[in-house]
Amino acid sequence: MAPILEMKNIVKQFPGVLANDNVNLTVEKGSIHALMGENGAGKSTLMNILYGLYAPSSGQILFNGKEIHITSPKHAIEHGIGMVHQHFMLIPALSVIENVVLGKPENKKVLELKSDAEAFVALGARYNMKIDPYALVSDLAVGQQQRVEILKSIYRGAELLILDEPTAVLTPQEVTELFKIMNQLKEEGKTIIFISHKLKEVLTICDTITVLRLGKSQPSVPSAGTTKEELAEMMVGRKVFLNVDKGPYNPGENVLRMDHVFTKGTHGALNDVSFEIKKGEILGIAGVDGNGQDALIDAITGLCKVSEGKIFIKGNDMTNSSPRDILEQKVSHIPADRHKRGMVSAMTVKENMILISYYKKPFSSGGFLNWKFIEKNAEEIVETFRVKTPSIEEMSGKLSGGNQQKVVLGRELSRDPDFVIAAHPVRGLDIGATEYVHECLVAERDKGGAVLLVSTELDEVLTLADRIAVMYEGRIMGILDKEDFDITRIGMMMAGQNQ
Amino acid sequence: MKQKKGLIIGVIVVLALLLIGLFAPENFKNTLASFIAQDLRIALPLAIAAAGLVFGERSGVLNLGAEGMMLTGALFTWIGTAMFAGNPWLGILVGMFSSLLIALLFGFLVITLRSNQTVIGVSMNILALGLTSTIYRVVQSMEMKITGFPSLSDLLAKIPGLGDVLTNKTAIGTQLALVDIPRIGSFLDTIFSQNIMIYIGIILIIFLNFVLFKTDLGLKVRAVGEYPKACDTMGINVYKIRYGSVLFSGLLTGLAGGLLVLDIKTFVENVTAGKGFIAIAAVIFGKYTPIGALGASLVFGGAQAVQYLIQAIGLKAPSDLMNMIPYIVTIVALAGFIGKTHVPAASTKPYTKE
Repeated sequence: MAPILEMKNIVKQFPGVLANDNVNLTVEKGSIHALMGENGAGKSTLMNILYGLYAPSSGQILFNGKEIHITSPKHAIEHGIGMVHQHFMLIPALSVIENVVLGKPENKKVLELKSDAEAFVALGARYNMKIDPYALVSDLAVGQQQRVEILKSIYRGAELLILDEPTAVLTPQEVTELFKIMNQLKEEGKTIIFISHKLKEVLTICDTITVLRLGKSQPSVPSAGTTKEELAEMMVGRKVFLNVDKGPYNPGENVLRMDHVFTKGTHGALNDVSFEIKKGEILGIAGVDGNGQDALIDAITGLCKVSEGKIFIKGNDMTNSSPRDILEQKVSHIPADRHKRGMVSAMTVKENMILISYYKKPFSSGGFLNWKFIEKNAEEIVETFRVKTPSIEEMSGKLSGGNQQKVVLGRELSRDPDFVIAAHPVRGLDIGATEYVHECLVAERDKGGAVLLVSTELDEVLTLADRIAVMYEGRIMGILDKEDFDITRIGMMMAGQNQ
Repeated sequence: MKQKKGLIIGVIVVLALLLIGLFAPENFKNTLASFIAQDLRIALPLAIAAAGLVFGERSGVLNLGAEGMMLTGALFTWIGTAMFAGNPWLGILVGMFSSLLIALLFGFLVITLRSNQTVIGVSMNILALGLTSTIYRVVQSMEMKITGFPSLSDLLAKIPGLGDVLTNKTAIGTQLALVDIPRIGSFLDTIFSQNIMIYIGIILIIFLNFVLFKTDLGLKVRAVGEYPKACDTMGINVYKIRYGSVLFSGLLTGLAGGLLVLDIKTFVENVTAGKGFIAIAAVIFGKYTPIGALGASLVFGGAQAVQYLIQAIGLKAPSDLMNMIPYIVTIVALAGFIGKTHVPAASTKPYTKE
């Protein structure tokens, strides 16, 4: 079949960064084509060029055999290119149908929402999607919003659909649903570019795979006959160990005990949460983002008030204690958002290393900081945790995401913790850095530490955790032991069903 | 559903007026009629300004410079009207043009240069206060001939042929022919024989409500104030919509300032005295809809009209205390409403296109 899209020798130069370096991408009509690569490999840049958000420095785009110049998203839509962004481009305060017709050039001056709504519902029915066109987008679940986004693109005439990390926000069942829709679209002759870093999904759904590494495109490969290991190697440029070696599971005494904990708040507040974590185990918290994970961590670390129930750390009642008192119990916290909570971007690496211990000897005495010791300590952490930085005087904000996370990790783990709380510890990290962070967490467990791992990446929880608790709307739907790990069951629990 | 609610309220109001007109004692009727007339008169500039500000706010720009734009519009309407031999129609166009220029400066600073909307808004007010006071002192010695807008009855009387049927000429001026209806005639005449701009204003506000909620343009305005980035990916020019909305809000605040001056038929320094801010309050109190803003303005206007009512009844209260009423009502209304209405999500946030 003829290619629907050819991007030839695309170069995009940002000030100081060559984001796309002679990238070539050929997509066959009626296929599902994966675009893979680590963070910063240039996937988003390439797709933003295709969708008209960036202008390429040089290169050629052929669409249906004709050269086109896309200067704005409007152009892209006119040519039949649609994009579903990772962060949905839907307006929560408007209704579904208002979102669908927003900015459509064919709109009459006075909108005819009724006829648009009828046509849209009919289109949804073709893909077995039931959508209330007059519902507010803010009232829809994430999965439904995504379906609205996809339908919206098709309604507006997309022939080529770009899906940017579409599975990141979905439960396993919703992923299956999405794949069904994608296959149906393919049968109807539509073309899909599927951006993902999840090896398994790409091999399941895609026909052809193109990997970007450091801004350069690798030769495309068919997904049939390609293995996960080969793909990972193409992405990183070296052999990667996808499995983590763990010591035997040998749980000790309780480190954390949550006893019927409630918090106040409207969204994702804790609702009767009880569980325990023992020495030498990793408890994974699975769940779709925004189902109380943040409140759970805030409650344990003293960042939000517990309205009912008790929290014990190593047998001491730490309910509603100050964050400092809790950290003094040898608790380490790797926050979900390292920019907001993990470090201060505008401070140097060595200053970030003492954010928690600065008031203690030997870091300071009599109110004066002991810079000699602080610098020695920082040098040690940088070396142990392999932080790539020009010096410990470098501003933390200037490091790459992976190295920033290593700064946080180094500070927290060098405090010799008994209990590590790790929230989305590899979010935004590439495969290499991910591998390292995982090794560190497992090492803590093997040393006899207790680890609470919160992640929305089910695969991460499945590989690392000894037990998995699934959260849904602030409740613990259930806790599974290793032998009961079952992706279907966990998926049901993530969606709030429990039989 | 919503439209039905408006209809029901309208029917109730008309019925209530008829009942009062038919059965209430003469004294009460006169007081009430003049209260309603006062309320409409005071509320009109507030509602017009607020309706314009609704568009600015919905597009994500908080126009705290409304007070200054209103003041500028007021001064130049005054000068313009005098310039065109007392013609209020041409005069108010001059006023609207002047506030449009201030809005253009405001828009350039907050949309293109992405300056802080609060700071710039407040400085626009200071700029306008200084500018208008200075110009006023220069021109104040000249003789200014100002005529206000004609009333409905005056206008109807001018219609050839029909004029004599629709209106009566009496000793106190032209009245609507309604006045002949027994019992309720003069009551209705006081309420309905208003400045023509009140009718134009109410029709305009209903029209703007329609534009905001039923048209393609209105949808774009609402969307841009919620999630400009999404609009950008949909091929909508965020800057164009925001400029349009800000300029439109400038135009209407200028109109409001002009109405104020043409109502009292003179200009004094700082003639707006916080009315621009009350209009902003009316936007919030009215839940960011033009019709809601009209309702809120009537509440605020009513609070001021109460003063005349109290005087009419003969109650003795310090006038300073009386003057506080509208501001107190504004504070109470806002304190009760802020946080309960949905504020456009991108309000006051400058948009940067990548």
